Order: sequence, then structure tokens, then C-alpha cells
Amino acid sequence: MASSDDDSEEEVMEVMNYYFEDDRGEPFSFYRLPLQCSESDRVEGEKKQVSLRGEADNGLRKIWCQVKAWKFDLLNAVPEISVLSKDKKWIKLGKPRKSYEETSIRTILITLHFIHYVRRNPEASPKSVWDYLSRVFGWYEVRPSQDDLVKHTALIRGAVKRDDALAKSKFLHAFLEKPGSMHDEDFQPTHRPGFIVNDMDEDIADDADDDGANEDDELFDSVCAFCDNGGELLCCDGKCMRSFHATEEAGEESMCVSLGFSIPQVEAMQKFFCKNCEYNQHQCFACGKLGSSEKSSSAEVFRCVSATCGLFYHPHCVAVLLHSGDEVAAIELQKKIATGESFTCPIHKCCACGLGEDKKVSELQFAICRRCPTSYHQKCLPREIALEDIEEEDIITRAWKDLLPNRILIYCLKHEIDEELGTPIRDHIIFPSVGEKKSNLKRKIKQESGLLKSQGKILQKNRSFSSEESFGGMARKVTKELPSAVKKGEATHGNKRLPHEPDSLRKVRGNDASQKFAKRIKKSVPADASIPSLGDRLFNLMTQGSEKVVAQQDTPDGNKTAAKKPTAKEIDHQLPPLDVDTERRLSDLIKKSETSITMESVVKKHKMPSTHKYSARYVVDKTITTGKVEGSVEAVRAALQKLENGCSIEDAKVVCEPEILSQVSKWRDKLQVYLAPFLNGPRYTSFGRHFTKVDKLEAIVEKLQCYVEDGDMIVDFCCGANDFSCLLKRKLDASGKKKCSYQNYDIMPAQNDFNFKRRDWMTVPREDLPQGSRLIMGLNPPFGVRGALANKFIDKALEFCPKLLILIVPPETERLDKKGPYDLVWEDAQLLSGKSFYLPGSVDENDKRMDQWNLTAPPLYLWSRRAKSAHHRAIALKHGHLSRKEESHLVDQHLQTEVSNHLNEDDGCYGNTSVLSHDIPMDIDEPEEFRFGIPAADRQRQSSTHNNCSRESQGDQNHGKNPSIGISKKEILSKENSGRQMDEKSPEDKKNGGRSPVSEVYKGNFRSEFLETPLHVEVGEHGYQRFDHPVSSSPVCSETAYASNRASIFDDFSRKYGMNHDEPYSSRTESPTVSSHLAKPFSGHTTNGAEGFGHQSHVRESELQSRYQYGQDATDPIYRDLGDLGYGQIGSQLPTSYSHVGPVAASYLMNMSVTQRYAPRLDEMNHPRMPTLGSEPPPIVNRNEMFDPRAPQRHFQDGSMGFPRGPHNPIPHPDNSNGWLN
Amino acid sequence: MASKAEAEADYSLFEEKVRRTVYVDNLTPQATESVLRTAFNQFGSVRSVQLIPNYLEPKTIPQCALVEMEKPDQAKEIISILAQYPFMISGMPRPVRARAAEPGMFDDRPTLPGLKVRWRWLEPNDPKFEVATKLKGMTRRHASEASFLLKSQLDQEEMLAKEQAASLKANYKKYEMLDGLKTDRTAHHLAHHYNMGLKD
Repeated sequence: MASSDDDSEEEVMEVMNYYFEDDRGEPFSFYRLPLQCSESDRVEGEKKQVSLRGEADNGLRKIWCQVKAWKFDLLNAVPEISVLSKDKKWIKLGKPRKSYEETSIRTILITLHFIHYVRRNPEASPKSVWDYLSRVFGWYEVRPSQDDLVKHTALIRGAVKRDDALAKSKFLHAFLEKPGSMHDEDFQPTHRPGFIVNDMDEDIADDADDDGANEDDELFDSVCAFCDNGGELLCCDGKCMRSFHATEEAGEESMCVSLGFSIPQVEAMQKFFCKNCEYNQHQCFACGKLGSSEKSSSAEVFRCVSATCGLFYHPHCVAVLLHSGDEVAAIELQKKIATGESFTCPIHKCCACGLGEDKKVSELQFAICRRCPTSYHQKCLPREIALEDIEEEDIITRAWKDLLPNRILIYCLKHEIDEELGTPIRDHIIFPSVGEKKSNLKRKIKQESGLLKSQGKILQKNRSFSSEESFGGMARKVTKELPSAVKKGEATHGNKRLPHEPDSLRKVRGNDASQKFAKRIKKSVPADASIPSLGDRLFNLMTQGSEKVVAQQDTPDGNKTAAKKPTAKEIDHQLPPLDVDTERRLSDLIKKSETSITMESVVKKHKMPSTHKYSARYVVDKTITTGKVEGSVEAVRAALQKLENGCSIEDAKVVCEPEILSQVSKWRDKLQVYLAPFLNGPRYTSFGRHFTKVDKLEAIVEKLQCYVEDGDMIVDFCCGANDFSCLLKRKLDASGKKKCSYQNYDIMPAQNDFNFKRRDWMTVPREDLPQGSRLIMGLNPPFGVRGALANKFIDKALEFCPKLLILIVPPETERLDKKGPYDLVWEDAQLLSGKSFYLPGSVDENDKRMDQWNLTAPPLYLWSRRAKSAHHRAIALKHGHLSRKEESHLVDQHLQTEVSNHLNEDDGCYGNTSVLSHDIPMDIDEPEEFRFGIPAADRQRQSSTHNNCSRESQGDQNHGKNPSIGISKKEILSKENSGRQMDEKSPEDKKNGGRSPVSEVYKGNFRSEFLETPLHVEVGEHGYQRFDHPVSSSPVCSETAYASNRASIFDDFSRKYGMNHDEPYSSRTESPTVSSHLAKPFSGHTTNGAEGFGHQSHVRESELQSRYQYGQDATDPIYRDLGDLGYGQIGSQLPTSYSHVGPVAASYLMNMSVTQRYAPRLDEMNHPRMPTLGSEPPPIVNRNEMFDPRAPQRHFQDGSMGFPRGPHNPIPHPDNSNGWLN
Repeated sequence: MASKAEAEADYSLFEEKVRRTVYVDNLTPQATESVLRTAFNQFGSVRSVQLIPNYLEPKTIPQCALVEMEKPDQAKEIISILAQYPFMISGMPRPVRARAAEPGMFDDRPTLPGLKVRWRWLEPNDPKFEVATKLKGMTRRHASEASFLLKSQLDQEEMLAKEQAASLKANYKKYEMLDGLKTDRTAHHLAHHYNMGLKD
């Protein structure tokens, strides 16, 4: 049985481009062979001479052999099929030959994918199953349908019998019970390809970016203001933040009077303001009277300041309510409110107990009356307000769950429930100016819409739901004024209510609309066919017209021409004027063609690649209403003001829930995305792509080529201009690796069509590419907001299990070691800084191609599949050193990533016995590469034990720390952590006695560091930022920082270099000296100033780092310190100890003292640089005297290493190190 | 006849060129040759760009151009991609349209081999005079109809532009309000009070 393990995978032969034929050479479907279910179990099939033909080893080997059985394996990410050859070997089937696939095995492939999918998702709905199948088999001409499955019912039955997991799937059961008679709707998606894709995209988009549209509604009212029911609502853009049923149809269920718009009207509406907001006349929620809410002039009613409330009150009304017993206070409050002071209305306090709401605790959630300012805690709710009718006590339903987000909707006891409606009588809303003449207004609206309709005659003709229906609606409207018997009969119970589900409803609506449009289009076709073709008609028209013109010339018709002249003649005096008929005909033609083009069909045609987010406009325009934004912004400010005036946090939270804050920032993000083209200026052409510049690609190729082996396939999943693979090919050809193949994907045609396939990467099927062990994938995917798109691209790439992934992605992209068995080989954050990208197709004022740079340069990552990471890392070390790049940072990056990699690995393997086996080979690797100067065997032993031990502890921290982002938590966590650390380490300690003192020190420092942190909290949530402060200003902190540094030094040191802890400088007695060393650099830094950190070139830093680097996890945080270069990714994964303990201090101090001390070892990697180190400012050297004796070692080692030193110049940046001193 | 063969060869060359060429429409008046060249270079290599001047209409209306690519396939590719995705040039929030070029679009096209154009005067009493007048009238009529269509189209576009501007303004206002919270750090402070992290 084939397994997903890479190593054994290579042994199993995989046949590509295969097909089967029988003895007569006819194509043969392999599923007719006996099916081997297990060793003994075999389902009989046809006994025929069948042979498999195809290619193996990437087409290098032709396969032609006889087969006698087949089997399938559902355990892997994709269903795998194998056939048993005559000589009893299993051969895995890769991608079939296309013609064979379509004709002979399509059904079985669909069936297998089907079983595979339902096995993995037993709860999957029929729709998702079909969506999945149509996605996988989308390129077949015939879409997958249940007919395909019916053919293999027996096989499915067999599979279900044998596999418990399958037996769980409801859908499968349903299918097996009634194969071939599944509901039609199950297949809808397959019949409407356009919409499958859309739905899917939407799902994906929502998954990836978990703030889907419906979240916006979570905080706000989402029931109709008329009938208090959910459904398809139109949200008022104004201050009231109410929603309404816009059309009769939408409010049908609750017999809602609705706004009485027609669907086209709603669709055409840009913004909807309810009459109240339009005229700034709002009702007081307490007394129900209208009043002016215009803030600028004399306002009569004022809005409650709570962000989601949107209710207005007369100052008097609300003051009385808020201070019911205390008249004086009430009058005072009334005055305050009248002068514009903010207030929160009574609904934000429980009327029974007077306390506020807590949405997170269900008992403390509110039940809010929709008719008057009354609310209860769920726990305080009187019995009479019940969720269900209780006949014997004469209680009728007054409360509904799920209609309001986290709240219960009630009608309090003051309101009499209308039996028929199930709600109180709906006379509560008064629109201004019409007031009692409400019905008139409605009639007016109706008339307007009627007018509109009659204007669009042609439009109506083609409508599938033609005028009948809308007129019907009108009729109904009239009757609705007084409930009729007919209506009673029709009406559904008011009690049955729709929870508001904007998303799904919208989708449904979309589908409906599409159906309608489909119908409409169909209808219009025969209509067109019945009349002569357009050309004919045109010809007729022209000839007619021309005759008329001639006629006109002969006998000028004064009236007609006079009427027409002004319009036509203004445009062109020489042109003959058009008569009314012609004009009308023309406008009819325009209208006709307009109706044939609908928004839906356009949207359908412009099928977005799966990576694009859908219809931002809907969200921006309709969901983020001005009123909501205004209200929220106001509330945020008011809340802060309250807090500053000394109110309690609870009070502030009444005004502005914490969720509002996150909502505000989400809105901001969305608007930013939506407005991006305008905010960023009209500077680009193209699809918002950005390509990596060729010189950068060359640099990448230069690095990557070392890892490419003969026969690999390089896949660029978003190739842009397609330069990368061309460059790589050139490079590889030059270096003799000529057997590589290339595959490039993009959704746009590339400039260069070398091995290019225009395809959305998300839709590339597994079979298109060879097995993972031969795949090298990657490069520059679109990033998306917070790396969302990049994540999707990577996820897709991981489906292919490539051995290497080379990625240019933003640092916030999810790391691959979190997603699968991958290790970071290296990361290069510098390579792509500066103007590394360009905007294809755009030119600036000078007609030069536009360059682009990212504020935070996206790092270049190389990820390796875990099984091969040791191998790749060895290459990295070898070549990373040899790299012709002289920028020291390149080397640094290698080392740095090396380090972080170790950590990550530990993270993953922590607590696992495989740690040892896993680490040892690597440790051996490293020493071999580096020869630390300790006798090799000895050192290896040490390193393997020590490394594991100390890494363990780090991994440990890692575990505990990663989640801690909030500052307040850190302290606690750190304590826990240290405690845990201790516990968990004890076995390790036994193994290695020398370790424990260090770990204790470590722990202690750790804690003290955290105790310090609150002092510097204001800097922000990122721990690392704090370190400017400790270092430069506070002596106490620098103490602690130093101390923890020391701890980390030890830790790193022991971890990385396998040093024995008994050695003097790692023991505790060392601390005085270390501290003295450290004190000075601090002062040096202070004088240097923060600027120095930030701006004195990277090179210097990295230089310094690189020396210490080797155990120096803190380097990442430093980078972050230094101008936010965006290495967040790694930092976040590093033990928080480091990102906490003091990136700055850690790095610099350690760079100073420790690098020097360990120079003998470290400089092996940096040997060419050592001279500079030597020439570094005297103080440092002095401070590190005690280690100097060791320094000479490096020289002899240079030789022994056998690393060619040639390309490395001694550090070319003496200036920088000088600068550092100043 | 050498000249005829030559003309035919010429014409087939021209036809080849037509196949390689994309007609792009709805360009912003600001689009220049180099803008177009760069814009279309991302789909292949552009051989030449020829803006089609518009002698008859006011300057503000959209331009059109002929973009000749290296290969006919690239031209096809461009047409399909532009039909599928809205493609904006020079930051113009209006998608460019593309379709296959036709021989008639080239003002420097060679004459069709074998085509002979003859002229002659018609006397008013010639029976063909009436046909000619009709044709002439038709052409003029056609032109005026076209200008009517154009006018209504421009009107519509103006409406749309107004609508878009209004919605843009509204949305920008919202954005400014929200952004204000961030820039004056109100949101930040409040988040701090609530003890919650606020992502940047």
C-alpha cells in the first residue's frame, strides 16, 4: 500500500499519462479488473488480458505491463489508485492520459473522489460534496453528476462496508438508500457552473478572511423596524441604523407593511435613507412623537450615544426615565442633554435590577422591548414574557431568541399583542412630513414605482416575473390596510420568525435572481427570433428613414423638425435632424440592449480568480452605513471621554462595547481596501499585480539553484512575467542540471510563455504535477490582506507536498511548520527590501516602469519538507557561505534562519521521543560544518545531549508563550511557564546535571523581567518595542534585561554550541564579569541613541549578529526594533523569552561580549570578518580580554574548514562599526 | 503580373498584422503610447501602438488604439483576458475594452488586391443619381443616429460618474471618520482601557 511518506513513495512506481488496453488494443477501464480490497479480500472482476501503458519517472521510462487487479486508497490527501502488475508489484497511477480519462475512467475517478470527500467530511452537505466534485473535475466537459456515481453503487457499498469512517456519512447513506433519486437541489450547483464557482469563492474568501460580511451585522439590529422580523432587509444609511423590509416580498412572512419598493428600485438604490433620517425628524422612543434631530439647529430629540443603539429621545423623556424618583436630578440631566451632552438611554440597564449587560454571559444578556425603552436581563425576565405560548395561563409569546444578536427580542407587558400579527399593532413608526398621511405616502411611492415601470415597457416585457406580480403586490398592499379574511388564510403565523441571516439570504437571492435572469434571457431569445434579424431591421429602418428624410427635404414638416432641431443640431450642425420616431426607436434599442445586459451576467462573465474577494462594494455600501460609522465613531470618542472623566469601565462599555472597537478597525480595513485605488492615487494600470524585479529574481535563482536536483520540476504558481523559471533554466543548464522541467501558472497570460499555463493556481488538480519529492514550488504569490491570499496559495501548494518551497511572502503569513512537516531552511529578509518589485504595465510621469517597494520587505523563505530538511540545510550552510553575495546579511540570514529553525523544530517535536533521533543527525551536521574547536567526538556528544536538553526548555517556553500577546497576561504566563519549565525539565536535568543552575538563573531573570514590563507598557502590545526604553533610560531595566540576557546567553550558548555548562563562562559565577561587560555597551548605546539602532546600516547589525547569531534568537526581535522591518513572522514563533527579554539589549550586549567570547567558534562561520572584529573599538576588546586567547584558534581553523575564503572580503564596513562606538 | 503578386503578398502581410492586433477602446484621454505599451507588454511583447485619432468628437471622449503584438495568440489572449477581468489603464476606474482588430481600422492599409475604385459624375437626370442621393442621405442619417447614440451614452456615463463620485465621497467620508479614530489614537486609548489588543 502506498503511503504518504516521501521515502517509500519513491520506491513505489508512479505511472503518469497512463491508459489501459485489453488484448485487442481497445481502451479498458481499470475498474473492471478485480478490486483488491485487502490482502485476502478481492472483489471479482473481468478476467482479461489487460495491460497498463504509460510513462514513469517524468516521462523518461515507458511502461507497458500486464495488470491483474486494482485497489484504491482513501487515506491520503487525494485518493490514490494502484494496480497490481503481473509480477505482483503495485503500481501507483498518477495522472491518466487525457483522452482515456474523459472516456473510460471518468466515472470511477469521480466516484473515488466522492467517497474520499465524504469519508473526510462525514457531515458534508450534498451541496458541498457536489461543489467539491465540480471543482476537482471542473475541466471535464460534462460535469460530475449522480449518474456517475450510480454506475459504481456496488463499489460504494463495498467501501462503506469496509470503512467505518465512510459509514458515518449521512449523505452517502442517503445516496445508497435511493441511488439515482437524490433531490434535485443537490445537483443545482452542477447545473449552474457560474454559481458554483461564485459560492465557492465566497466560502473560501470567508474562510480565509474570517470577517465575513455577516459579522458586521452581529452588533447591530438586524430586524425590520416595522415588523421586527428578519429576512432580506434594507439598511438605512442614516443615524437611526434601522433596517426595513424593502419590498413586499421580503416582508411577506411577517405580513410586513414594508417600504413598498419594487425589487428593481431596491437594486438601483445607491443609498437608502429612511424618511426620518432624510428629514432629520426622529421619533422619541419614549413618547413616540416626532422631533427634529438636527444637531446644528434646534434639536428636539437626541440620540443615545451607545454605538449600536440609534434611538432618539426627548431630553425630558429620557431624563425622567433615567432618574425616575429624583426630579431634581432629572431636570438637571434634561438640561445637560438639551445642551448636547451625551447620554445612554434606559435600555442599556436592566429595568429589574438596574445593572448593565454582559453579552458574553447568557443570563446577563438583555431582552429588549421593541416598542418602549424597557430591557431585562435574561435572568430578570418576568415569567409573563415567554418564548412560547402557555395556553392555560393565558400567556402568549412575547419573546424571540435569535432575532437580535446575543439578545432576546421582546414586547414588554405594556403592549398588547395582536393575535393575528403575533406582534403588537404596528403603528409605532411615524415617518415625518406625512405623519398621519402615511398611507398617502405609500400610495405615492406605489405610483412612482408604477410610473417607473411603465416607462420601462420593454424591460417589463422581458421580465419573467412580469408586471402581473408587481401589480398583484400593489393590490395586496391596498387590502393590507384593513386585514381581510383572505389575508388571514394566507398568512403564516407571526410567531414563526426568520432569524436574520444576511449572508445566506443574500446568496439565495443571488441564485433566485440568476434564475430569473436566466429565464428572462431564454424568453427574449424566441422573441428576437420571431422578428427579423437586427441587420434586417436596421436596413429597414435606414431605408425608411432615408425615405423620410427625402420626403422631408421635399416637403419640410415644420413641426417635427422644429421639435427635434435643438437637441440634434447642437451636436453637429451638418447632420440631418432625427425625427421623433427614429429617436424613440433608437432609445428603445438602447433600452433593449440594456436589459439584455444585467449586472448578474456581467459579474458572471467576469469570473474572478478564486483569490479575489467578492463584491466588496456590497459590504461597503450597504453594510457599513454612514449612520453606523458615525454612531460608532461618536461612541468611541464618548466612551473614551467618559473614562477620562473617571467613569467606570462598565459605563464606558455601555456606550461602546469592546466589539465596536474591533468592528471599527475592521471597517477601516475594508474601506481601505475598497478605496485603495483612490487612496493610493491613480498610479497603476494592471490588475494590482506586482512582479519581482529581474535582478532580484537572479539573486534568488542564484541561491535556489544549489538545491535543485536533476529531474526536479520547478513550479512557479504565480509566475507574473514568467522570468523566474527562464532564469532558473538558464542557470541550471549552465551548471549541468539539464533534466529539470518547469511549470508556470498564472491567471493572466504571461509575457513569456515558457512552459506557461494560464490557470488559476487554486484550480490546478493534483494530477497535473508529479509527486512531491520532485517538486520545487513557489515564488511570489499575491499577498492579500494580512497575508490571507499568500496563505491560500501556500495551502494549495502544500497539497502537492513539494520537497522545497521558495516563497516571497509577507512576514505575517502563516508559517509552514505550523501547517505541515516543513522546516525553514533559510529566510532572507534583506534581499527584497528596497525597490524589489515593479508594477507591470504601469508607467510613471517619465514613462518609466514603476517600481514598487513594500513598507516592510517581504522576506524570501526557503522551506523544506522535513524529511529532507537536514539535507537541504547542509546545502544551505555550504552554499550560503560560499554565496557570491558579499552582503553579510545574506550569510546572516542563513544562520539566523538556521537558528529559528531549530527552535521551530523543537516546538513541533517537543515532548516527543523522536526529538533525539531527529536532532542528532542535525547536530552532527553542524559540527561537521563548523568544527567548533572542541574535539569532534566530544563535542558531538555534548551537543546532542545539551542541545536537546536546552532546546527542550526552549520549546517549552515556546509552547507556553506563543499565545501571550496581551501584556497583562505575560507576567502570569511567564510564571506559569517557568514553573512548568522546571517540572518538565527535571528529567532532562537528571540527564545533565550541569544544566540546572542555568535554568534556574534563567527562570529567575525571566520573572524579574516581566515584573518590569508594566513600566513600559505604553509602547504597545509588542514586547520588543519596549526595549528601547529599558536600554536607554532605566537602569533597573537594563539590569533585568541584562540578566535575562545572560540567561538567554547561557541558554543559547549551551544549546547551540553544545558547550559544557561547567565551563566558567556559563556558570553563575560568571555574572559579575558579564555584567561589567554589559554595563558599558549599554552606555555606548545610549549615547548612540535609538536612531543609531534604527538607522545605522543593517550591515553592521547583521555583522554583529552574525557573529553571535548562532545561538541568538533575539536577532529577530531586533530586526523588528530596527524600523519595523517586518520579520514578525519568525519573531512571533520564537520563544517569547527572547522577544521579551530584550531584543535590543540581548542582541547588542550579546553581540558585544558574547560574540567576542565565542568568537573562536563563531568566527568559523565568519572567518573572513574576524579582522574587523579585532579592529573593533578597544573597549570591547578589553572587556573581552579573557577570551582573547582563544581567538587565534580561528586562524588555523579557517584552513581546516576548507572553505574557500576567496569571495569574502573582510568586512567592508568599518564606518559602521565606528559609528557604533560614537 | 508581378505587381499583383506583390500587392497580394503585401495584403497578406497586412492581414497577418491585423490578426496580431488588438483594438482597445474606452481608453482614458490621458493614455499615451508608452502607457499602452507598458500596459500590454505584460501579456506579451508589443510591436507597435497606434492611437486612432478622433477627428469628429470632442476631446474628452474616450480614445481607442490599435496595439500590435508579437504573435496572434497573444492578441487573442489579451482579448479573452480583458473580457474576463476589468482592466484599467492609468488609474482610470473604467475598464478598457478589447476586441480583434479589423482591416478597416487601419488607415494605412494597403488596398485589397483586385479592388478597383472608379469615379464618375452623375447628372441629375441619370437614373443612378437618385440612388446616389439616397446613399448620401443614408450616410448622413447614420452619422446623426450615431451621434444621438453617443450623446445618450455620454449622458449615461456622466450620470454614472456622478453616482460613483457620490458614493466614493460618502465612503471616503466614512473612511476618514474611522481613520480619524486611529490617527488621534482614540481607538487605541480606549482599547487600552478595555485591555484588549487592537491590531494595526
